[in-house]
Amino acid sequence: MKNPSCTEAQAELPLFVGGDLDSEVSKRVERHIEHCADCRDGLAAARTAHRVLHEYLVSPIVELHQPEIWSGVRAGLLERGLIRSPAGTSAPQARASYQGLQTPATAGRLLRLLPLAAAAAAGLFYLGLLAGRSGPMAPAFDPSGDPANQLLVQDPPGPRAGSDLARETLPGALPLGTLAPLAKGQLPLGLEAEPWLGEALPLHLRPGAGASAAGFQSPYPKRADGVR
Amino acid sequence: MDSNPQSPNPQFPEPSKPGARDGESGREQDHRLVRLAKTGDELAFAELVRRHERGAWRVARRLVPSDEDARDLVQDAFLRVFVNLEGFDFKYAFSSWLLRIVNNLAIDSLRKRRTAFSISGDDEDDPEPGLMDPKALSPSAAMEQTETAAEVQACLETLAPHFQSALVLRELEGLGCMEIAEIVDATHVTVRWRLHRGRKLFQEEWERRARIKQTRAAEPGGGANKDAARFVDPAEQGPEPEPRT
Repeated sequence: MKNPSCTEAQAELPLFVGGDLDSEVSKRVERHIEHCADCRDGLAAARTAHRVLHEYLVSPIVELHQPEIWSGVRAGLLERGLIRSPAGTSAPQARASYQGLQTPATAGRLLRLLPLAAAAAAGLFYLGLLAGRSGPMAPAFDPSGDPANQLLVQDPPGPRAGSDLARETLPGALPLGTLAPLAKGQLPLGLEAEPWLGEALPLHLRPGAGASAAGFQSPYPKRADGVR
Repeated sequence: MDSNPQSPNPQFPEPSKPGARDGESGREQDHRLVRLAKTGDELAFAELVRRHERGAWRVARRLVPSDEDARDLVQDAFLRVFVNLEGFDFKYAFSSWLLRIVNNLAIDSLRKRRTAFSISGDDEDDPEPGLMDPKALSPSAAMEQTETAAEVQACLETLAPHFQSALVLRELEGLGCMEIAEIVDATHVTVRWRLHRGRKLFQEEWERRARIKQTRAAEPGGGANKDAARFVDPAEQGPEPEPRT
């Protein structure tokens, strides 16, 4: 059976190796260990375990991997409405405008949505093709069917090639080559009631180009930043 | 507004460690930033994050198994800080308060992880062996250090979360029992007991693995060691002591 000093010393070793003992108790343990081979062995084992643990915990390499923290914090604050972006814009707008705001986790979530978005786009495109196959395209905006006002590409005579199918667009779209009637400074029938649509066109193609373009007024109020 | 917290703000001295006796100015600056952040000053909060993100990250990264988990944990901690700024007690250092939140979140995470570990009986998230930069070493030394790091981490993970957090705060941050007690919301006697018990359990696990390695090395042809990763039930690690005054 160990003498009381050994028992006391052995019990104190975990705190002794970490320097967590009062100085008085620490000195007593030291004095005992000087004269006790058993406890010296115990101390060596305790020191080995403490050393590997300490070296592991204080190894500075972990800090090299430290990611950017603030961007994620700020994104979280914006999402919860806890702060407002400086310009008073909404959280998503502010997040997009904040440099480096997208954390890897956020980017990962967006990347996971990409296949869904691609599938949805492909589905819409296929629906558009099916709609195009259902027969000669009807004029999109002209109930009278005046060819001069056609916005959509008509089916050419003969068999339809893949490239032809690809040229077809959904009703209401403005495919290439359909701006010819607009180049005359005329809007297709039915669009006169929406003169603001002309603003989407280059100046020289707008209704009354050169004569009335300067006086063209949008029905929508102009924002302070100049964007309608 | 450019509120990048990466660039030090000369207006505010760097923070001191929690409980540091000569760090009053840093502590006061933290309190000033807290007061500004409470008024909605985003820059002030960004500065608080910049000053304390490193310490929070270091502690979190030692307690959770991956960089991603640590990042999420620290970001969550700062969000909670912001939400609860009104409840900040100016008697304490900001860093103590932050580390308490980080510590609580980490312990929750560790408990969930241990539950998953004990149910599955299989550690799917292998400890990252790359904590000690192997690139800076020769291949054999790097391999040895990587193995040692993995062993230490595995031993650490067998400890109950409150032992782990006490050891991390003591060894990594160099905090005393009183400071740790403030952070983990326990008495300093309990913290001393956790340090004592945690080190002892760690040593036992470390030596057990060393014996197993020696046995395997002695066996002809080695052999798979199914006992290497042992889950230790927290109940085996002893109850908390009654607080003494």
